[in-house]
Amino acid sequence: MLNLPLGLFSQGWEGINGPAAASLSVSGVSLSGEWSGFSNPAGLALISKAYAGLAVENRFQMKELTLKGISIGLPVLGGVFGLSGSHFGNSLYSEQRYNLAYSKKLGSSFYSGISIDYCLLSQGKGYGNAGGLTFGVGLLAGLNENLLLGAYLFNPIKIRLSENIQSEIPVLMRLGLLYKFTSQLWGTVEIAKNSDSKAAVQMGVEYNAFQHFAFRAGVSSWPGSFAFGVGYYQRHLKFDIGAGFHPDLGLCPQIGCIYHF
Amino acid sequence: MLMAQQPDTLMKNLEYQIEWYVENTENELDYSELTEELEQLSKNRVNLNSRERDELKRLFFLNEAQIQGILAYTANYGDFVSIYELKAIPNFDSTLIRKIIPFVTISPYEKQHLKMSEALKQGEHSILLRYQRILEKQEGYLPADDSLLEVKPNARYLGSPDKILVKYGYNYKSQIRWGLLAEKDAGEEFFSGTQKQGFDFYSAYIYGRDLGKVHRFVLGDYHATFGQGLVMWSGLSFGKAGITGGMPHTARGLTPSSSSNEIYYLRGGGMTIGLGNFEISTFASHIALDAGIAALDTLQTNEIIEGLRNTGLHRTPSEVALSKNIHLTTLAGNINYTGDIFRAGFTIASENFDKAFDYRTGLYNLFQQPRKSQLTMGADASVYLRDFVLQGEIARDIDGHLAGIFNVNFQPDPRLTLALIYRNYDKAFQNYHSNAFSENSGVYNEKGLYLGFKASLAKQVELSGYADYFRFPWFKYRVDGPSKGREYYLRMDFLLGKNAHAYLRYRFEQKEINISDEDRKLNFLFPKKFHNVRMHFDYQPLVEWKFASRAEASFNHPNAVDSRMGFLIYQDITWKPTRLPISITGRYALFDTDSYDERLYAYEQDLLYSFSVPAYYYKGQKFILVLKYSLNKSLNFWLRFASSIYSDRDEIGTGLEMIHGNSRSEIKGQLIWKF
Repeated sequence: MLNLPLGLFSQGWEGINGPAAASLSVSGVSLSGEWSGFSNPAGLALISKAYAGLAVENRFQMKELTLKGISIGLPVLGGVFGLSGSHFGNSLYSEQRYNLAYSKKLGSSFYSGISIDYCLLSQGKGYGNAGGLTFGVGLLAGLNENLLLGAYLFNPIKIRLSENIQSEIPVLMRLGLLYKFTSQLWGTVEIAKNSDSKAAVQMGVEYNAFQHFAFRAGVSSWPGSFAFGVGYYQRHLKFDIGAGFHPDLGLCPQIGCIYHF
Repeated sequence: MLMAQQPDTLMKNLEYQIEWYVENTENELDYSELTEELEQLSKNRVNLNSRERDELKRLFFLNEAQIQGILAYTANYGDFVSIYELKAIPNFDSTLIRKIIPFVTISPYEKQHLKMSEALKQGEHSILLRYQRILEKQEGYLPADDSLLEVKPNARYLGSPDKILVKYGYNYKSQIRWGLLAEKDAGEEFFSGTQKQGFDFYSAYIYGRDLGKVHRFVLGDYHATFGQGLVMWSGLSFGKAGITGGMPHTARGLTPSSSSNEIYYLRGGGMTIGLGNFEISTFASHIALDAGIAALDTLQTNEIIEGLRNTGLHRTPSEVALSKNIHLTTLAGNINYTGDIFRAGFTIASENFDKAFDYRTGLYNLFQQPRKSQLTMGADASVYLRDFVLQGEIARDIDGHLAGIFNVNFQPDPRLTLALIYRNYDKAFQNYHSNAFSENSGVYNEKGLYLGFKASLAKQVELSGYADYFRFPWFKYRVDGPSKGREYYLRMDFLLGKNAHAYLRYRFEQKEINISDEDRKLNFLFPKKFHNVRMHFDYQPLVEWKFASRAEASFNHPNAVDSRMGFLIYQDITWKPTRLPISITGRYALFDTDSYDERLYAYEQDLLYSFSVPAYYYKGQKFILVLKYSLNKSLNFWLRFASSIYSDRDEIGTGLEMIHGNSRSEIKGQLIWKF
């Protein structure tokens, strides 16, 4: 337990990327979806309907390492607004990130997005809270018909919530590609760097079948882990379930649903 | 729009080459000459129908075989009507054709006669002013007590941290050129104290080309490059970077030196006369260099360096004391014959220092004790046979030591080029102005075989790579014994639609270095392994917006136990509005390396004519912002701000360069006025 990579504890600042991305072992920098506010706000621009979503992820079956998230979004004024919140931890210690994102399509195959993020470190038993504002920017660019590139930068100003060194929010930088083999099958690969931990290479593949189902699998180099999951899509509802698995630390189940109005 | 983008292709290529060059040699030089030349070239394009080899040679990124191919084509089939006819010439693929389009024209060929009165009046003048400074206070600029300076006079720099460059140039169709340059480096005094003459470095030249029988003449500061560089190559050469799947860069004879590099130039004059198929060049140079035995800029007095110094920096009393205390006189000549399928040349150079060297060095330098006088001669030849190009040069120094290089370039199909380069440089070969293909930094103590290729796998996919095997017959610095090594390189380029380009590359290097072991008295050699992977994307999804993304990692295995890693990721954005006379470009980078050895080099956006390819190392982030404002066509301004913030240290740099803090920021400004 004591050998846990430090990065695992501060992952609350990454927000929640949703069970679909987690089942692919990626953050989703080159995917577009309802959780894009946290993974790459540019991805929100591809959403055409208002939505509301919930997601929960548990790390290594420890109650203290639970990540919860909520997100709502609305296409308005030629772009898409999204408002999301995430909570990682418990009542004694938690990392919370609240994200207001705006994304817009700017070219035939080019989207960009920006978010304003409020990070809150909350400690119980009278230690108090500390919060700070930062931002994120991202883009999605079609390099050709089948290949999409996503890039995301979060917190380049590297804010510190209090004088305490532990309260520095890491910079996140991600670069990813999504390749569509067919309209049903695509793969994604990304490189993610968190200024506090090692760079990771993550890749995943998703196959959509039987009209309503999505099957997903992925691997990540840091921490060395893999993941899998299934999605079920109805007309208004998306329901995703999956699990990440770390050989030493164990299972990280996740579940979520999205309702489209 | 498409046309407007194209000069970028070559610029990009140049960026890659310079990036690679720096990565391989760790030399930070002034590459402005290359950018200037490309710019001149796009203004005064080369007429492909010219029957003059010299005119075509202005396309300096082409090799001899390609130039020969163009000449043979026009000789056999008459004038080019379309540039795409180039596809019919061996050695020209569509990538290369795309590259050269911005620099060539096609018009009926007629021999032009230079009118002196026109040449002196109708050219273009340009003035460049550049200023730069590190914003944080470095150790060398901190206030110091007189008592400290009395004991340690070299504990502070004499001058201010400002760096100033002033440059003036005149150019008439690249045929008549002259220029002046003055530079003050950071830390040097300015119009005071040790620099009563103002700037620390001055340079000037007058250059002419294609003046009847006089093919070239130069007076002032210049470069001379002949053959394959074993005897004389005073300018830049890109080594391995310049030749993936191709051939070494073409020697260009005498060219002016307009850069602020305070080394690697010749000062004096030279001339090339053409007599039928023969060209005869003679040139002379007398330069003052820095040398001596002294404590350098560090605070420790025991750090003694002997021999030639080539930094060009004169910031402390001891550096100033070493200034220009040795002189090198060079007398050299070249004669060469150029036929349709054959070319041969002979180069001779005599180099004389006015003082003898007294070297105290390690065993590794046993065969490289600098001589007071050198006389080196070399013969080179090239043969162009259908799909083959064969080239070679062999040189002999005053003591009879030999150095030789031989290469074959074979293009069995327009989509495939193969190259082989063999070099064998004696451990004792010694010549001051050698600069040829090598793994070592100098042309000596090396044997090696390089095999390279470049293949167009599909319309949009190009694969290139090489394998290089080398041996060093004698000791090297930190290598106590004969050693060997190898390097592999593979790069895949993807053209993704009209506005996106990506490449993936992998490099592996293994070299033997000393390892000390407590149980043994002697060092022994260990094959140190180094891997590097990079992916890079350039894309322009909108007319006014350009982006570049890169992620790169290096893995270093310096000994049997350790494994260290370096990582760099960056995002570049350029906004060039079509309606406003400005452009803005920026970068955000995150880097994280375990030590300096895993450093990663990356080209950075900079002012025009200023190239920077710094190493990213340790842990931190870097911002860059460059603004360009064009008042009108002839007056342009640039402003650049760059700042690195480190998260794993609170001191940056060493010695007098040290910053007591965790950030290092630099500001640069530039003005270019053309009239």
